[in-house]
Amino acid sequence: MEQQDYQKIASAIRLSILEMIYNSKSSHIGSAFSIVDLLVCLYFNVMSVNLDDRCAIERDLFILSKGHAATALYATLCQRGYFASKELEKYGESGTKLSGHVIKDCLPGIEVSAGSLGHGLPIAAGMALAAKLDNRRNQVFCLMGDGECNEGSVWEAAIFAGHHQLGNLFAIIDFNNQQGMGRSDEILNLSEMGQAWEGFGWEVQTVDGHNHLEIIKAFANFSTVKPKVLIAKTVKGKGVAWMEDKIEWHYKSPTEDQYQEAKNILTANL
Amino acid sequence: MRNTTINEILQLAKSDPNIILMTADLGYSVMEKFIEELPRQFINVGIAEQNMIGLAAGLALMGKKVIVYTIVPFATMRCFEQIRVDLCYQNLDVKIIGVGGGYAYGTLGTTHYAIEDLAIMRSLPNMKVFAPADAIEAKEIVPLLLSLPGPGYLRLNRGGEINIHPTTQLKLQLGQGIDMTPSAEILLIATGNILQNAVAAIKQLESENIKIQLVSQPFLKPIDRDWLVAKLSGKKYIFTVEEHSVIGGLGSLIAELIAEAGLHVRLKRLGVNDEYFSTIGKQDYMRDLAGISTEKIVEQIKQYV
Repeated sequence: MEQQDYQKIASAIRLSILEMIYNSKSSHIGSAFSIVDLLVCLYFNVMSVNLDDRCAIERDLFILSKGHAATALYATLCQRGYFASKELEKYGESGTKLSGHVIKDCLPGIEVSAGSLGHGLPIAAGMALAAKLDNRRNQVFCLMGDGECNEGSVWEAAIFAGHHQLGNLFAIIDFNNQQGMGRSDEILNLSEMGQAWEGFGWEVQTVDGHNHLEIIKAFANFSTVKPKVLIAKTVKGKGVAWMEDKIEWHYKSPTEDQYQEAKNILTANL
Repeated sequence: MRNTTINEILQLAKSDPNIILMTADLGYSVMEKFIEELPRQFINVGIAEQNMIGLAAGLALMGKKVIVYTIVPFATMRCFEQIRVDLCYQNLDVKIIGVGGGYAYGTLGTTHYAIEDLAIMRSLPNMKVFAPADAIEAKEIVPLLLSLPGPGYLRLNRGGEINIHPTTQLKLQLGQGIDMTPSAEILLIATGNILQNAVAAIKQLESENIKIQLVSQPFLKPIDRDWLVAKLSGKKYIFTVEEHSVIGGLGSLIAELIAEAGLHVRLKRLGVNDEYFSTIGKQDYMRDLAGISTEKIVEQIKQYV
């Protein structure tokens, strides 16, 4: 696929996210938009996906540790063909399992529950370790936020994975430099976190987190037996210019006018 | 109790290569035999309890049966939210073994005491909570706990305890207590190693012509409600004793049962009265300070009956 093909898939996913968030009047649209391009690369290129045998014992596993970007994962799995798009209409409805934070098995392809930050990487490391112990070929991918890396448990797992050379473990950092109350580098500066990962025995690459070909190339370039981390420089709210890099879109739900405007922008890119 | 538990796990792990034993760097002089015999089924994750629970969850999601081991406060409180979200919410097959229930770590002080663990573990959906009194109970309880699906918590004392039960052939039923004496109007229920003091206390009371019925209740969750309510019925006084806060453990459990079953009986909970002590001491000293030494149990029961 060419860059423009990935781009179109990403726009379709953002449109689904917009629909879910607008219809349910929920939050976190900025966080979801931030990771769309990373998810597109993972599910449409990097990870081995076999829809005929979704529970294959040696499948690649994905954990959305920043569970609040749930809509992005729901929309990506749907776009990839894991389930029909009518499932997404249930998002945020009372009595369904489509929560604002992912719940294990709420939809085909959701492997782990998340919502509290800093839980994903330890679990991913456990999965990678299990595969290694049993000589299984699973690769485990864990997507986290840069703000999430404030959590000590992330670094406990980073030290463990480095020490045990979990080469089948991939951490992806959605580095949008925004977190709960402002800019990450003003709250707790982790802008040099690559050195920390390296120091703990990880192979590190930094990419533009919205450039599909660059992301895919980076995954192909990983070459060591170490665990790998992709630091993806992203923009919160990416895809709708007036939402980009604005912390308010961590919380707000679009008004009707904003919804229409965003829909027009995203539709034009399809 | 500690060695018996690890030995039981070793025997089970020998026939089930999916069993993994993990520790957060505690278990010196306890784990050696396991490590020697099954090195591939043992992982020391380092001093990182949150990661240990997450790793255990990941291993369990891949089909492993995981047992994690460390000192109670670190096994239950340092990583409480990982236990809640990773293990209980997802209902994963991970068993937590906490060593050092109550004041077992004696002079090491409050950081190493565990007087809140039963309360917080009981509050978690899907969690099983077991507190054996001695190695004889532990030997029966370990395989039972491991045979149950989902998360579980085993609260141990420490090591080197005397065997309290006169027989090694206990017939345990999940959720039911163990009768230590014949029935009487006054009932004392104990959980965990404080049973030792409860046994001594009722002996002393018997010499003063106060007959007490004693039950050991290693199961805090799940419980056999009908069995327990039947035990509680028709009593004049009921006492509970635990090396734990009076809030949220055995005493609370029995109070809930009495209230909900509409039983008219006076209950007194013996345990730690919602406080941290500023002094430290050996386990016996701390038990006395908390009012649950043999003498204090006798004293408190005599006050009421």
